[in-house]
Amino acid sequence: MNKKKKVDVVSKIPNWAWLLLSLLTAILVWSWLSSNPVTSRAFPPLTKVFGSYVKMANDRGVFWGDIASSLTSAGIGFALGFLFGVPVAFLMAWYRPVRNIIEPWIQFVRNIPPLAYVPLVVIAVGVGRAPQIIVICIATFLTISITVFQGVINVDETLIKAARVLGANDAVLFTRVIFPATTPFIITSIRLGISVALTTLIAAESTGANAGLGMRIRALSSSFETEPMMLYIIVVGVIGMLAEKILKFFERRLTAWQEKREI
Amino acid sequence: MAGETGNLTPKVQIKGVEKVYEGRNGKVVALNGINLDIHDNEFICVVGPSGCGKSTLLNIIAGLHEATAGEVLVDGVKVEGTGVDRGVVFQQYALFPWLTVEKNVMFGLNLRKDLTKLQREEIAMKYIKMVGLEKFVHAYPKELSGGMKQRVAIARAYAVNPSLLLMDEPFGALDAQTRTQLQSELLKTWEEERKTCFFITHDVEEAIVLASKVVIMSARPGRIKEIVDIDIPYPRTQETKMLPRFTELKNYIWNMVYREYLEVQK
Repeated sequence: MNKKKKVDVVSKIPNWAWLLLSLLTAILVWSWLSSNPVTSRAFPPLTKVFGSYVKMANDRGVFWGDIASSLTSAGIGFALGFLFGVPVAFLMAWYRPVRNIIEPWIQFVRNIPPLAYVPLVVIAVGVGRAPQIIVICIATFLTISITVFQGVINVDETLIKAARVLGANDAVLFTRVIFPATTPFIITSIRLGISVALTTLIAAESTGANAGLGMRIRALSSSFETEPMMLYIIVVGVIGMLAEKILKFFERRLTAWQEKREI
Repeated sequence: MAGETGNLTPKVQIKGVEKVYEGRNGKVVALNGINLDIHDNEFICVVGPSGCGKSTLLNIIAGLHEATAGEVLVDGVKVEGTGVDRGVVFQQYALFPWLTVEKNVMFGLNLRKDLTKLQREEIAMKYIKMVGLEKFVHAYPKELSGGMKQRVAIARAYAVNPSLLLMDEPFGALDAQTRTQLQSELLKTWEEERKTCFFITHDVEEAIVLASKVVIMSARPGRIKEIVDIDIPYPRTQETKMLPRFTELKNYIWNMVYREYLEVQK
């Protein structure tokens, strides 16, 4: 009885209130960490962290430029990774030789930290925007191609049979069965790809970039400026969350047909 | 053309069909020397223990699997791949989950260039009404019960107007009540058009109430053991199951199938 009552309370709290509660808890934990002498050096008071915005945006004038630069690199890199990743995934699923040759490459490169191949990219294309885009493109391509590939080979065999007996040829089968059946996996691949693009920023911007969130986090860390560094870390996290919100919006429209477990 | 060959040429001729799978533990003979003629307007039910190759045979007629030896002729033409002259209803419904009921039923119609959009919609609606789902035209499969899903699948198969209907244990995943209900509906539909039907089941009662002929298969290797004419006249209903002749046939067929089942157990 008691347990049932508790569940009711939990389900009555709206989502925005939960988000607020989660944020308040985080602030509370942070405040405790910054007042604790052991951890206070790593977690400066939040007021100081957000106060450092003035230093970065007004005094040094780099804050918004850093965000714009990182979003440009991550955006273009992700878009290219997606553009290459999806067709490669379909080709791997469709043609066995393609799969047998390419899949080992992907599995091989996938587990190498991007920071390790950054020097190679710089040697190949020099410094500037290009190496940043290439590093993010490689990282997102690997994640997206593997995820979408899993989706294509998991398409229910009976759906393919059903389409065939209704008169579908290969082209129809691809556009009207395999592609829609793979949509949930494509959306998942976008979700993972965005995450990879953001987590790869530091590696991508260690190619001699002169702006960017990742480059600035490294610079601020080496000059022991913890407060603005924390601000930048929070910005990366917030960008990730915003991207997820936008994706959720599209996901609800595109895959409403899917049978989902209600949690 | 049809008049010339008349009813003399069977609708489907299965000639010496054999299917051998190369398994990990050597060859498995799924079907061995299957010969069967199916005539126009016949309702054939195939019964047999699991693993007797019933589904394999259906897949070969549908053109989804290739026979290792022998051939299948439909209207005198050798089966090579799938064709819209043979509609299939699968046990697992196989509805496209991203399409509504209407769009699922229209899937095959949409591949035909000779129909206008309006005509396609009309045909789809006709068959959606036939299975009594007009209230669910715009529902997605996830919103439907198992029985409703299978009704959509039947409407979808009917919509492309195949001359032969292949059904692979279509009611096997349904509860007993829904099952009898769908049997009655199928009987009613079939009695109107008498579309040639090849229906697989492991339920002997279901086979007798539906079929004009019951084909009993034996297992490992899959072979036709006996063909029993069901001499109970149509129209049939669930009450047909009360007739003494029904019980007689049921006992006879059930005995044969049960003996096969024991063979498999050994």
